[in-house]
Amino acid sequence: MGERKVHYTTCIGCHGGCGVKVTTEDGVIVHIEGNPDSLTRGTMCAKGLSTIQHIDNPYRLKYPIKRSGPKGSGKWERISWDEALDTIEEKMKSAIKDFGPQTIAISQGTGRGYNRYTHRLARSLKTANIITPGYVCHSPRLGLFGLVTGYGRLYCDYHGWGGEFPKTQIMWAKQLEISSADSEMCNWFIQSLDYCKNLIIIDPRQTAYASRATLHLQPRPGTDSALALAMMNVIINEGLWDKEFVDNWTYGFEELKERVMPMTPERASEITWVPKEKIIQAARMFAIDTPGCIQVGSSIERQANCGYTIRAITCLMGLCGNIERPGSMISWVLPETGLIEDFFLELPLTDEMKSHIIGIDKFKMGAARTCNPDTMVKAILSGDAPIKVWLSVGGQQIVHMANTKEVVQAIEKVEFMVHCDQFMGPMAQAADIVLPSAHFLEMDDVYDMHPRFMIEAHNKVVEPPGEAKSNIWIFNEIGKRIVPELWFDTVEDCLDYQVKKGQGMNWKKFSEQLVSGCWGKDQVYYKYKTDYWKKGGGFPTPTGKFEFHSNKLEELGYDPLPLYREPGESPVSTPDVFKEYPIVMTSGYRQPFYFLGQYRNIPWLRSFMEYPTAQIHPNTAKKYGIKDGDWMWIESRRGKIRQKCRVFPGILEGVLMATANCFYPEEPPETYHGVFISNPNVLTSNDHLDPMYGSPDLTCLLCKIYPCKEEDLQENVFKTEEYGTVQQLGGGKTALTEKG
Amino acid sequence: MTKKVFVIDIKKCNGCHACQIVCKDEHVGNDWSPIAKPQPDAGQFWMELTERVRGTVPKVKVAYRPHMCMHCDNAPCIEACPVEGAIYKREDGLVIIDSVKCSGCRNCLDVCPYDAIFYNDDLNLAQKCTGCAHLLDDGWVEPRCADACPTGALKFMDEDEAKKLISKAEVWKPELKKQVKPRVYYLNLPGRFIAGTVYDPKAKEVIIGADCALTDAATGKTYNIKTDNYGDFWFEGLGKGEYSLQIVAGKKKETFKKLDTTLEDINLGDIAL
Repeated sequence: MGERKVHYTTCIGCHGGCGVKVTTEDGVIVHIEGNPDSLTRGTMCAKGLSTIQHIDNPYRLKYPIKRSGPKGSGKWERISWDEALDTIEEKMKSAIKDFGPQTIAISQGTGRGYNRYTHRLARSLKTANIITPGYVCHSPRLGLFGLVTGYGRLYCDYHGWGGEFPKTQIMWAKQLEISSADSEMCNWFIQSLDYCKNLIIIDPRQTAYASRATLHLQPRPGTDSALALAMMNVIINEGLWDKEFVDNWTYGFEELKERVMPMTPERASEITWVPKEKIIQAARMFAIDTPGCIQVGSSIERQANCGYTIRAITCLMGLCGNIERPGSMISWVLPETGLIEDFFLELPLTDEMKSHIIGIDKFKMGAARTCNPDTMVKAILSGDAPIKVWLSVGGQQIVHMANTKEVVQAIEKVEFMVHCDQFMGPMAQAADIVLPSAHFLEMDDVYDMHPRFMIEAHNKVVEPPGEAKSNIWIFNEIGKRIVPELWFDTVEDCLDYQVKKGQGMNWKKFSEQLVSGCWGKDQVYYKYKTDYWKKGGGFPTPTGKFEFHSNKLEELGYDPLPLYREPGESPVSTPDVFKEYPIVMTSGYRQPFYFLGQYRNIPWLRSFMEYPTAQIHPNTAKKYGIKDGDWMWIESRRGKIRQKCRVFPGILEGVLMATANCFYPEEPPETYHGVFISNPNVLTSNDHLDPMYGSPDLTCLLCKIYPCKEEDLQENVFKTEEYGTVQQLGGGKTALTEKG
Repeated sequence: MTKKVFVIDIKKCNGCHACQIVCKDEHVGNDWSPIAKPQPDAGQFWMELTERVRGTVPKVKVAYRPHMCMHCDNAPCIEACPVEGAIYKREDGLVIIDSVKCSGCRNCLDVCPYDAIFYNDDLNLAQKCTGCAHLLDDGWVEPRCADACPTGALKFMDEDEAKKLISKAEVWKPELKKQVKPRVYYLNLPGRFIAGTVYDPKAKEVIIGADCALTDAATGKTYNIKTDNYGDFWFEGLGKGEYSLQIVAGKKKETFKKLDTTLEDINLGDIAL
């Protein structure tokens, strides 16, 4: 046996946060498990536990490459880091000189540790045309929670640090245990269930926790705001609201009362398809059995009424006094190392920069410091947004944005694009230069968890393959070349800078102690009753109160109160379309072995569900002649895709739940890795957007379905060439079936 | 050495699949001979999470069950194995296919009542869950799957310590219990249910507190419950067999006869009373 060494670090296999213990033998990883001494108590999920297949994957990118054929041709040649960085420097400098810094766009995937670097680089270059998936995931919550808490973080208190656990928990369009987007929270959520009296699951389909829940509400996708308004209607009409909190600490109760009156449970039942009794009962449980919390899923933010829906849910929390009370919704006190976003917030967003943000004129909440991606696509296509340089890290805009066809057309028009990634994928195929990124076990960095009460260390365990580099190194190198005064000599300097607010803290020390956090007795509840936010008490809002009625939104031209709007396409809003496309479709089907577009190239994970799968009710399947396990066409007004059919009795008739964010790593580069085969965004529209955030209806639209014929599958797709160790599983497994 | 058992609480499992992945992490590409040779990259599931969906909208239940070698005390595989000592029972109760002695005859695959043995075509040998015996011998207190389970659903325990739990538990395929004596116990395995919603068609309201009496045709035993706030009644944890149901609310009455749960759970849907 060689020399064994144990390393401690932090997983970022999803948004991350779980403590990891890695054993190496002579510098090679031999064992990975959860770190029992971390706040996540040694638990990890399937994604993190299969890390070894990620690290050792033969398809990892090892060297910088540049395109040597037309876009999408898959022809590449290896170049040196110097050549890659020289080219990027020259392109960026000439774009700034000839066309202005706003012609540089910087894009990222969902927050995976690089948010700070994309934003700092953009701000230091003086562009605010940052493209992030935030507007369909988390930003609406941050912005609208921010209207009442100041900096926008309002999280479920699963911890019991204040002496109480949530008595009533609502999981709203969220499967924390499956999507694991915030895995550190998942562990705490599971533990807190031991103390939970009422678990209310709001999900269009049945799940393991819905089966055990006190109450399961199955709404028609896209109608959540009606549900929240009706719950408030019940709470107000039955006199169940928290009078002490509402009387002393809120603003606009009378207006809210007036607004929710028309949304009776009967009316909401017609809209949402949820029986009125269940709406009434959910409202009573949440109002009576306090404290309670609501875990909001990002499916709600993938809808064009997301702003008002989040507002409605926030008002529901406030109405029941479930704010800042132990076991309710908390805005956590930061660790001594401060707010990690200060790393880019310290660089100002000037009026000049703001004036060039694409979409700022329309989406005053969503496009305030990043651009509206859908507007950018339209603008590139119409020639109004001459983006000269696009630097992309991690994310797959081609996959997650609405209307794939237009996104690909727009991205192909961009003159110079760089993409940083660990593997080739749709965005890499559209790039001119692809830079190889390090895996989280191959880099030093600071991890920032969503609830922000702690930061953790990513410690380098092994060397990256070939010449792969961490994203922090890549961004620092680019920054150094163009605005050296705002970047750092070394990565370690940059890391020191990010933790410097901690007492006597530097990277080395932080790396050893693994975490800087504020928890247990150090956390502060009921901040509004103290001088914490405002002298004499109150919320950090213009009125000093929790705002049911938002003057800020009114000033921006929005309705100051929550309201219900039908989705852009629905049985109600477009009855003619509904005649031809009679199925309400959503794309919220998540599996515990994929994270968004990631991991279909990890054989162990892929083996759970080989092909993207959509759930439909047995009667729906029968009506359209589709059998369980068959390929089916799913068609909308924009296009058609195919997914495997899973006949599932736990979903309403006439509703289809598709798997989102799917491409096929094994498919050829010319097809952008098969992004048009099964990805639901081929079907979604980028024309009907949320007025505040510009979010499209990704999880509520209309479709029709029909079986795939044998000849439909004869095209040059699904001829899976040998790709790593992904093996055929005998016709493609769609589901886990019962044995014996 | 103390005897070990697996105790798996179906009610706690949420389908995260960590057990299945760590099994791969431990056994794919690693040679633990003579306990086990490497598991192939794909196609074998020594630990496999299975999903069960019962009922029809809106009365549907979803549950997950980890399926594995049951480490039977009267293991049919040991009996069927022609090579002396190639499949054996350890003192701790685990059943092991010796990866060196196994001749690859496939007899054990045919006789395993749980489909828990796989054939490795490249290595010409039978393979299955080892309970991570190589780790236990190295000082571990539990196999990887139990170690990785984040909900505490999957536990590897001393048989003595687990006595109380075992008394409430069932084995998979209970009809085989006496014959093969499995060492994997399941708590809260879902039984059948009969459910429905009672409403008053004139008032267009559900009926709360209607008396529901379910009689087991085989035993004559009757179970009584009332409809809840949503007009729902659920009889859960039933066996496979024939039942009759009577629903009474005030002067109204409805009877259902010959409700057969042998093949599936029964959702009677909306019942007008």
